[in-house]
This record gives sequence, structure tokens and C-alpha cells, in this order.
Amino acid sequence: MGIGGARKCMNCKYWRPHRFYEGIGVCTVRWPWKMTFEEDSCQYWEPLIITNPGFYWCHTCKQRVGPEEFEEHLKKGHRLYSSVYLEPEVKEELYPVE
Amino acid sequence: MVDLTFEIGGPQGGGIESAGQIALRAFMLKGYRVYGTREYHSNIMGKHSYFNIRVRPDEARAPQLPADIVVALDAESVFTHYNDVGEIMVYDTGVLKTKMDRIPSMSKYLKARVQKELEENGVEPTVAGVVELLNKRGKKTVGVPLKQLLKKTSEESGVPLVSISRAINTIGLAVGMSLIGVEVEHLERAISLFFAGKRKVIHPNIVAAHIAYDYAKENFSGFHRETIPDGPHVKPERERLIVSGNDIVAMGKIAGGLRIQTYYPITPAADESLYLEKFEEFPIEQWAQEKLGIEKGGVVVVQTEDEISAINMAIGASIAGVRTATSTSGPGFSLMAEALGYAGIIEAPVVITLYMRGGPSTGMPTRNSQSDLLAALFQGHGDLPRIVLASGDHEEAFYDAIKALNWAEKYQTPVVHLLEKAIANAMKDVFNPDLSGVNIERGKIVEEPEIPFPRFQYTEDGISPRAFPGDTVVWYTSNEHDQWGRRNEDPEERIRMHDKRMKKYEIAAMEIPDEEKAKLYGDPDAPITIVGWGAVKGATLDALERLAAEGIKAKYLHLRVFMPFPSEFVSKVLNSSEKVIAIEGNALAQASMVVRMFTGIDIPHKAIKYTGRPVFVNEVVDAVKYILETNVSKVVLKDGQ
Repeated sequence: MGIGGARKCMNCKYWRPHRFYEGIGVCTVRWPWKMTFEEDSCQYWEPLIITNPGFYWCHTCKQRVGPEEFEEHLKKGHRLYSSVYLEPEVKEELYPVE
Repeated sequence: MVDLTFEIGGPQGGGIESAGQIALRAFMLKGYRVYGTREYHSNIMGKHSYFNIRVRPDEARAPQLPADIVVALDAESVFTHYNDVGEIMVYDTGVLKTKMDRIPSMSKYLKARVQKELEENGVEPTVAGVVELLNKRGKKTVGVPLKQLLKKTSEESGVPLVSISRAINTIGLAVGMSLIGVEVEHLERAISLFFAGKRKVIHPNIVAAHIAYDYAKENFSGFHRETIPDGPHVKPERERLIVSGNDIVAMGKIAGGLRIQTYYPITPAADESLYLEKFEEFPIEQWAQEKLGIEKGGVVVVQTEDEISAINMAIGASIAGVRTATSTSGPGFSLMAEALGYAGIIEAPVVITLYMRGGPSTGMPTRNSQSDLLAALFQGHGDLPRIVLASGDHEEAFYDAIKALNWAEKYQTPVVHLLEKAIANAMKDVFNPDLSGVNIERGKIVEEPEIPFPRFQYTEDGISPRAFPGDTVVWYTSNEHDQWGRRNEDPEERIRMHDKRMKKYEIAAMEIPDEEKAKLYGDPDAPITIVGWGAVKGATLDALERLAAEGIKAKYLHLRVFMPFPSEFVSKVLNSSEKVIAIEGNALAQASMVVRMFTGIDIPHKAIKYTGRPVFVNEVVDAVKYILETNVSKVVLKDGQ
């Protein structure tokens, strides 16, 4: 199973969406990672296929989903990725809440 | 007169904090006074957060709505804040097609209200639908291709996109600042100041600001306001600081000679202790080194395992002879109840800085309230004299932090210093505090005590001299005791010892002047009196100006010390008023209950707010006018998201 569609970053197995902003994410095919737009494409593109039970990032629900839930999200057409991109400096923007 | 409100919203963790902080500095550099209210969720990451920034030539002291400009950095901000828009909304064209029901982080209750309103106005529940509605309402909508401008920033700055994705906020902020009439140079300087020492961050953000200004100029020239004139503080005579309420309380404590602060992390109190941790050692002047026999000053900050330990450790440090305080909020204060009584019976000077958030229980940790006043006054069992004071703004908070430490030691009693989340988290520019009138009053201390020492010696004013372990031998017990601190339940001695403790409270009531306990603002002969406390002060003082402009003459009675209460002064003011209206950030109108308890006067009209949001200037104006028109006894305020 996968998102399907054209050969765009958003459908590539190397791409991780940005945690906060829509339409951007990072390509992890080569180090250092590169930020791209979801409509971008390149020669390294490989389809994003999710079949095995595991923990995934549901970009539609903006939450991590577990092995028991991921199929449910896929059935609903949600965008699942193996992980999400969070900037290392994000801690500078967060308020400590107890 | 320039009186602007600039609002910027986006996902928590996505750079809203930086954007707000930069905006505050840009307006300050432009010569204005600023007040920035932060709203955020307790789930920490991803949910909606925003900054409401008030800008004035005179003191900016409270948030207001509508906002002249709303910068919405994501779709959720558009749906959440479109009703806040006074003139302009800036939004990301990349989210135009986003449907509201596809935003998982948005509250379903807010979604339902927005859905209903959009349907009633015949527009789709999409960002495009909201833009259409705003245009129908005559508002200006400015669509900005944030991602494309981010790409351009990367190309022009030579910095890879992956390193600068947070510059999206700078782009949104810069478009807003451009439209509102602030020159790019001020934003540039603000970016450099905020990111001082981080050259790799400063450069792309300045490039982003210029790209955004150019974009706004090319595409929305008709929407531009005229450049706002420089404010009166563009070349300040006195140094100004930009501080949060937490910061300035910490500064006050340092200036007030605090030596030990204990705490267990809790919102919205923890930032104060984190700030203090930066000053565990600080340089002191030569004369002080010689006088004190030490080379450096410092505050010991201890994070304990819970709030019970925090207050007990503070009490222990106080017994040992140093100035101590602890800092907490509602749930932590509940845990401190028993130890508060202990501090009372052993007459330990300890300051509890109590930051109020939405309760009861965990409640709303990141939201505002004034609902802990009664707890501050009555928490703990037994007849327990204490001092309770509440600060109304950042300046008051600084000097109150010092006063609280002085009063605690002078009257050897717990002092509860109340502040709201609305002050704790709000960023405000303040003039560098004047320390010339600040004195450290440590009360009665015996330098060369007898051994053993009668710690609870009967005196005329009820205040016994203190001596400290190491210098002598003293006994402390939570049981009733005699002058030596030894357990004693003799009925006659009990009366004597209890009266001694109560006498201190009478002395404090006499010695603390009324002008420090309550203050009257505005024309004393105005027929309408608005009674408030805490952060209600700022909103009400601004409201007085607007009410006066509409011919409504009102004054403001600001309550500061609730125990000992200025009964005579308050009675005199209220008895000479034709109309009295209380404004409070809690559902019970707790301060009004205290007024009634101490003066017998029932305040007939109350405007109360318990949504967890601060009181806005416009709400005070509207509530007063509504009460005058209808004579209703209660108005519930609801503004703000």
C-alpha cells in the first residue's frame, strides 16, 4: 500500500514531511538531508510503500500511529510516512509545560 | 495616536515564539512601548499558539481586539483568528484549499462554531472561504506564497533550505510589518538582537525579511499603511528591558537579596526559577565584597522532588537565616498547604510566589485565571496570619517581589505573592528599575544570641528576635510551644502565644500604608468605580481613557494587598461611588467576596472572565457600557482564543 500518484517527493520513500508546515519536507536519500517541496521530484525517486505493521507518522492526523492502527489510517486515505522531520532547534520554540 | 495590535499565529514549535519576540523588539526600536500576550497549549507541540502584541507610544499594558493585522502562518490560524481581524489578514496561499475538517489539531468545538458561522455567511469551510468572508466584511486579505519566498531566501542567502525552514515565520512577520508601516531596518536590527551570537541564523533571516518586504511592496502596495512615525522612545532617556513577568519577579528577588529559591517545575511558574538559575553566581561591587566578606553574590536554586519538599526546604533555609522563597502555581500550592501552617506556627519568613492558572485541579495549565485568591488567603488549617499581595503589572511585580521578602522577615510570617499567567508569560518593555528606594529589611535579628535562645520570646509587638542555628541553640516544633520553642499546651500560655502571633498581623496592618495596599486611579470624584486586581489593572486603565472619550466618567480601584486588607480606604471609596463594578478573572468574583468580608459592602455589578484568557481592553469598555445600559448584576466575558 502507498499514497500512489505521480513521482513526487510526497510519494517517495526517502521523503519526510515537515512537522509543522504543509508542503515542505526533507529528502533523506543523501547526507546532508535536503529540504524539498512535496511537488518536487528527482532521479532517486522510489515509491513509498507501506505494508508492514509498525510505527508510522500519519501526516493527515499529525500523530504517530502504531501497528494496530496504521491500516485503518491507510484505508481512510491518510498520508503515512516512516517518520516526520522535526528541526533540531525546535526546543527553542517550545514552552515548558508541567 | 498610534495604538496598534499585531497578532501572529501558527503551530506551536514552528517559530511563533521567535517571530513574536522579534516583532516586540522591532516595535521597541521604532520607539514604542509594547505588551505581548502569549497563548499556547499544554500539549507542547504542534497545536495552535499565538502572540498578541499591543503597541503604543505610552505604556502598553494589556491586549486588545480586534487586531489591526493578523498574520496567519498556517490554516488553523486563519480559522481560529479571522474574527480578530480589524483591518488586514496575511495568510499563506499554499493553504488556500485547506478544508477545516482536515486540520486534526483544531478543537472540534471551535470547528463547530466556525462551521456554523461560515455556513450562515454562505462560504465554504476552507481557507479560501474565510478569505472570501473577510473580503465581504471589507477587510484586506494578503495572500503570500510562503514556500516560494522561502525557496528564494535559500537561493539568495546561499543557505540550504533545510537549515532555514523556520524563516517562514520571518517572511510572514516581515510582510505584516511592511504593511503596518514599520521600516525593514528596524526588523533587521530586531533580528540581529534576538539572534545575537548566531550569525548563521541572522543572515538568512535578514535576507528573508528583505524578500518579504519587496514582495509586499510589489504586490500589495495599495494595502500599505503609511510608515508609522517614530515613537517617543526611539532615543530613550532611560534604558528599557523586554521581560516576561517570570523574569521580572526573578530580578526583583535578586535585588531583594534572595539567597535560596526552591521549586518543583510547574506552569506558569517554572520559568522564574529557570531564570534565577542563571544567577547562581554573579559579580558584586567592591564595597559589597568588603562589607559582606564574599567575592561573589549568588542565589542557590534547588529543584526538589515535589512541592511539599520545595516549601519545607525553603522553611529550613529560612530557619538557617537566609532569605528564601519558593515558586509554584495552583496544584503545587495545594500540596504546600500543611507546610504553610508549619511556617506560620514556627514564624518562619518564607515567600511563596503563586502564579495563577486555570483550575481547579490540573485545569488549564497554560491559561490565565485569578481563581487562587481565596486559596491564598485561607489555605491551611488553624488561625494562620499571613500576608497576601497581588501584582497588577510587571513593574509592580518587581517591587512586590522585594516587598514580599522584606515583609516575610519583618513580620516573620509566610507571604503569598500572587501573579497571573497573564503577567507571568506576557512580554513587556519596562524601564530599568530604579533601585534607589530599595531597602533590605531583615527585621529583628540578634547578632550575639544567648545560648539557648528563646526564639518565641513575648514582645510588645508580637515580633520576637531571631537567632540562627550555628550561633545558638533554638527549638522548632509544629506543636504549640512556649517562648523557648518547647511543646506546651497550657491553656493560658496557648492564649499568650497565639495572641503573640496574631499581634504581628495587627502590626503589619498598621505599618503597611494604605497606598501600598490599594490605589485609586483616575478622577477621585468620578461617579463610577471599577474595582479590580492583578492584570485587570492594565485593561481597565486603558478602558478608562476610552470611556472618558465617550463621556463616561469612571475611576479604578486597584486592590493590591488582600491580607491585611485596607478596609477603611476601600469602604470610603466604594461608599462615595454611585455605581460600583467589579472586574475579575474568576467565576466567583473572589475579590468581591473579600471586599464584602472585610467591609460589608456587596459590589452589585460584576464582569467576570473564566475562559482561561486574559481580560482585553475592549471587553472592559463593552462590559461597563452594557452594565450602565442594562443594570445587570453579572456579565461573562469571552473574548480571545
